[in-house]
Amino acid sequence: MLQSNEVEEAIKRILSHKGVVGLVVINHEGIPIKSTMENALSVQYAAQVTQLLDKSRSMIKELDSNNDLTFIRLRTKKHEVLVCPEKDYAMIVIQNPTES
Amino acid sequence: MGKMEQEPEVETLANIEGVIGLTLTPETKQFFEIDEEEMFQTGHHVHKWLSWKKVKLHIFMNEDRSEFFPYYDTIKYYPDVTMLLGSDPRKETGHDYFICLTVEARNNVLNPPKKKKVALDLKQQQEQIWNEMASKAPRKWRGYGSELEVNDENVIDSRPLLSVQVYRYRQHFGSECKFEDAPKDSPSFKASFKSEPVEQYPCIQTVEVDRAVQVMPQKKETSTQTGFCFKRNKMIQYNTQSITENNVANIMGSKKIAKFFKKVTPRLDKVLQQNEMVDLLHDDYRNLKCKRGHEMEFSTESMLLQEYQTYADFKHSKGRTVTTMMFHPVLEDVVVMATAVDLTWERRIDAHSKSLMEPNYVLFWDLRDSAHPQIMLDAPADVFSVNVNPSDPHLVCGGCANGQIAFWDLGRTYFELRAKIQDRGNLSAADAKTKRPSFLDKLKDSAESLACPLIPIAGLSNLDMSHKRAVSSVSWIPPHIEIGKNGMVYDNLIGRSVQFMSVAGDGTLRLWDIRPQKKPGQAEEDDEDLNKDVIKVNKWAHLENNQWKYHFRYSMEDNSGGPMFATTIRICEKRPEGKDPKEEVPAIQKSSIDDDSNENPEALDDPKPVAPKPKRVGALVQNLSALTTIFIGTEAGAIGLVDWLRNKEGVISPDFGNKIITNVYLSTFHHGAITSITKSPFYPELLLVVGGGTISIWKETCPYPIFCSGGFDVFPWCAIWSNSRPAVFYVGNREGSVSIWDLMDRSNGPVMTQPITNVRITGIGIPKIAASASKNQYLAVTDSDGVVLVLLLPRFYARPLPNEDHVVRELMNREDSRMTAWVKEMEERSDKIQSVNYSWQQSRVTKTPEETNREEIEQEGRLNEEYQHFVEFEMSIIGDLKEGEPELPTMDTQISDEFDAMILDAQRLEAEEEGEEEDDDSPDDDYDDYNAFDDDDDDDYDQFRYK
Repeated sequence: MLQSNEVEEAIKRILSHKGVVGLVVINHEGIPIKSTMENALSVQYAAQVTQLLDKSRSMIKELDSNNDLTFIRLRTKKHEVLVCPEKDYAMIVIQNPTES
Repeated sequence: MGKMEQEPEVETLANIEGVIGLTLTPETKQFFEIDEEEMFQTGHHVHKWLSWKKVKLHIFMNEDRSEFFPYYDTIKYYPDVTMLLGSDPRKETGHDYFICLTVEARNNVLNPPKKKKVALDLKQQQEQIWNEMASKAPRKWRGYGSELEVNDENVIDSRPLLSVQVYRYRQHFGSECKFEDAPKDSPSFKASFKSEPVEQYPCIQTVEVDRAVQVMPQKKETSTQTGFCFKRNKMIQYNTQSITENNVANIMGSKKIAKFFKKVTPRLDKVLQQNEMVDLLHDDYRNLKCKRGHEMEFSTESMLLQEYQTYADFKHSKGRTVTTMMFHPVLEDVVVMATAVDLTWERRIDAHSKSLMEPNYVLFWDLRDSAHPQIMLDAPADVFSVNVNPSDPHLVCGGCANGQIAFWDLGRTYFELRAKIQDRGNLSAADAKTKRPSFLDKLKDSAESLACPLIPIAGLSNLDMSHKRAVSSVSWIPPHIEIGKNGMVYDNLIGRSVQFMSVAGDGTLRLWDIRPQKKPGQAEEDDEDLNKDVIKVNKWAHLENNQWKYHFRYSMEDNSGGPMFATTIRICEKRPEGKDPKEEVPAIQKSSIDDDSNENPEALDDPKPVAPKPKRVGALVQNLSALTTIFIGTEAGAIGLVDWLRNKEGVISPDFGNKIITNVYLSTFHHGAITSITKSPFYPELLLVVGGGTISIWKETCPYPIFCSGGFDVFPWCAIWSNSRPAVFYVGNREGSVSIWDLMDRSNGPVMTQPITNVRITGIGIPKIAASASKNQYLAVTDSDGVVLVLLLPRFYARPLPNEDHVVRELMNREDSRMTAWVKEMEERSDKIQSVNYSWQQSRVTKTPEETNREEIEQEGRLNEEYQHFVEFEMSIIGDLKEGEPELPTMDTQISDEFDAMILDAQRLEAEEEGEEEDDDSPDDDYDDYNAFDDDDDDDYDQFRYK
């Protein structure tokens, strides 16, 4: 339980950043575990980002088998999608940097 | 006498005048020595000369037996000495011989006219001329303008001609035909025109139109063949995978995820911070463009207002002051303008009889045509206010100088004008060059434009039911609501504005309904029958003949109970929360404007849109909180938010007989009549108010202005928000100048003031539809000389600066909170004063003379005591030069000096208002205090004002 609190704290801290719209934690299967957005949208994000992660990770591995993917920043017209993958989980944060 | 032979003659002898045929007896032949054989030898004419004297002798000798005797009268006057006799073997004269009785005949016989030869000559001559012409080279053709007209008359195929082949099977020849109704959506069904009796439109003359339309539906035949596709034996339906909540809790509590978060958060934090600090993709160039004073961008462009066009009608508007001017809510480039005689009240009364005789018109101007107004509305008196219906833009209401309400229906004229403007748009969009108007077209156009349609008045209110003074403002109720007889607000199911409010200087607010009112005695069925049976010649008949009465009437009172003379109103249009006010236009309203049915003028004749029975079908609007209020400006310079339905506590009073409007708040701020209130197109709750030479910005909900200007060297009269920049507004001044305010630049004064005319500016307007950046932006200004001036705004004001919206919002919120704090402080101070005042009064009133006596004695004793103490104290100082504690002041002197003056004033006020002071619980109390404080504390008040 103690760890759970820590996790909640961390999520809160990330959300408190300026312009953060939402956060999704997914597992390696692409299933959302924790989300601050509405369910349908988070499922969409989870599914799409998983594919992107697999593709980009394999690309990096092909180029250099010792290298690994650590972060993806996707800049879009409306916002920025930050993806931080780890072995079992990945975190997706959607930020609107121009929002002031 | 000789004989000669002649060539065969063309003409017969019988045709020659003066040639006579003769048959000669042998005696005569002998007498004239004519040889028979010789004469008929050749078969041609053989001539023989006879002596004239011998012929005469023959006549004298033989008398009537002589062959020549019948012609004696002619022969007697024969001028020559010899006559010609000839043989006529072919008996052309019917006889054997002929004789020429005149000299001309003789000449003709001897020299017959050579006709053949002359004809031959003529032919030759002609041939020569032709040869000459053929040898000449043709001159090169030069155009003098006729070819344009010729070109215009040419019909050019816009597409390749359709070739249509119609065929019929032989087996169908002579077979029976079946005619059926076409389906409604078939293209050939659309061209249907309802025929209407011409008498219905008395002003329209029927002109025979020579026109034929044939609709040919385009036929298209296509075929496809589906491609081959693999057959599938399996289908999969899938559902999104999810994890149960228990599992989630487990995962979230696990060490794994904590580790994951520990790893991830620093990375994320770093990135998020980076994003916060520097916006990588920030477009500097975009913002560079709009920076004011950036010389590179604006060196070529002027920052001044440029005059675009002046619109004045010499007949109808020149020399009259423009009372109201507005851009048409739907048609861009159309300005509606009302004029009145430019006189003061007293002079107006003096010149009453004269001004009554003058015709009054409301004019519609097209910005493209500065010479002639497009439409004129006939008005019974000077029109002081005009408003166009937002949902049915062909309906116009106005308020007259005599307090009457006028109503016009433009009908077909509006649609013609709209079609004209739309056509113009299409034409310019297509290709203006190819379609140069020919001279004839121009002539036609000018003739058309000269004949400006004059719209007669459709409805005029009953004089007894009208305002008692000039109507200062009219305003349509927004199309989504409608107001019942008792002031309740209902949903408007038609989605069209059918009611409007008017205020005047007589302290009343009236609501008008353009639909026919149900008469109380009449049953509903009768009504329906009437509507069905009677062919409506004039659908506005119920508004005519002095029948039009107000829907309801409220009198307005200021806080002291006196009548309130309103000058301008704005109906609060706040709608349910969570909706964007810009996208607020209800769908029904939109459709009623753009509806195809309106394209067809016939739809207008349908009484349905405006004449439903006032049957209450719409539901009661739920959020009454914001809909029953009106923002109002008065002649005394007060600004108020008034509510026609609810009382001060926000509760709808159970009896709807309340005929006096509740003032939610009313605060006097301006020092002169309010002349203009305009709503911001960006923030509907922000209102720009001009009055008494100052400008202020109000929020609907706050009882005090959130921004106000100081006095100027010019006198602002009217103002309007920019439709493209939230921080900009334009102000028209009495001195004839226009000021531009830009809150982004400075808020203590206008950015620029530019003189425009040398007479007063009476109104200012801006198109409702914000122009795109590429287009020119207009600002219309009217003056007291009946002229509409249209000015081109500098490009700088056409596009909002980056963050402008945010900055303005911030500014307004800041000002709001500042004012709230200030008002709070003022209230606290006034409370303090009141409490001090009260205690002072208490101490004074409750004391009987005995008590006061006692107190005086006590005081004296205390003073004596004090003196004794002081003496002792002095002695002690003198005695041992040791410092002692100073004496504390007593209770009575604790009231500080600074309040003394206030106390005195308050005491004076209290004494004056002692009678009214009796019920302390009256809700007006706060306002009185507020006002009283205002009067007392002018210095602070000025500080608060903006420099």
